[in-house]
Amino acid sequence: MADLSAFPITKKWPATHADRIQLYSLPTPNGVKVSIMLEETGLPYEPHLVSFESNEQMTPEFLSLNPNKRSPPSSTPMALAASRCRFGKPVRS
Amino acid sequence: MPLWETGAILIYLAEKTGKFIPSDAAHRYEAIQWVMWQMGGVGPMFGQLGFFHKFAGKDYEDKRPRDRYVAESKRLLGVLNGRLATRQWIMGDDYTIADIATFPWVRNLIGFYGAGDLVGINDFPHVTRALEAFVARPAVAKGLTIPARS
Repeated sequence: MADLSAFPITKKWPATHADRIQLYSLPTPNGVKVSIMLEETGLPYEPHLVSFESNEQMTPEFLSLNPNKRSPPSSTPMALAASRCRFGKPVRS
Repeated sequence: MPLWETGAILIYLAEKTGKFIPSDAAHRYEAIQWVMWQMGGVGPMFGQLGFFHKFAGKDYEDKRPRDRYVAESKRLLGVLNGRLATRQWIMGDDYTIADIATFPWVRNLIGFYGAGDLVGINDFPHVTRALEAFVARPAVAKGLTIPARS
């Protein structure tokens, strides 16, 4: 499986802790659903702000992960890249 | 694993950790059903209401679009209020991803959109009671500010 550096999004928003879940988001009602869940579960993660003011959700780096183009003021695009160490692990059932 | 769509991310994180989702199949899918209800109903309808009440659409002379989303939002709040009339949280005693999906949108409708009076939020006392319990959770208070706006 590819490691985190294989994802173009990490060029624009570099990971400081590549072993953590990488969250690319904005604190809107959709965005906070995920940050609240991450806080509730206690999973280690690294948040990155995707600014609507500068249309960062339309950058090639962001769209490489999330092709669902949305513009303000509609809801937040959201993407999550789990870290390398979790690649290929089955989801607990 | 890259993932988008917040409903899918919530289900993924719940299954990964075994937290905030029921463990038995019947209740598990019931919780997912409510997540889908938020994704397909609450988010889009409240979002449209925000557009027509607070953002560019508020200047439209024709109020029929706004009224349509007011009516839809009231209907959805009524469904949620009925569900919560006999339950602490959407799935009962246990707080789940159904609550995590839904209450940020209810909070936003009343707060940021300023549409509480427009939808008659006081007609839905079970919703407001659960919303208060939701925002009182430390993880919610913290999660609401992440990622920090620079």
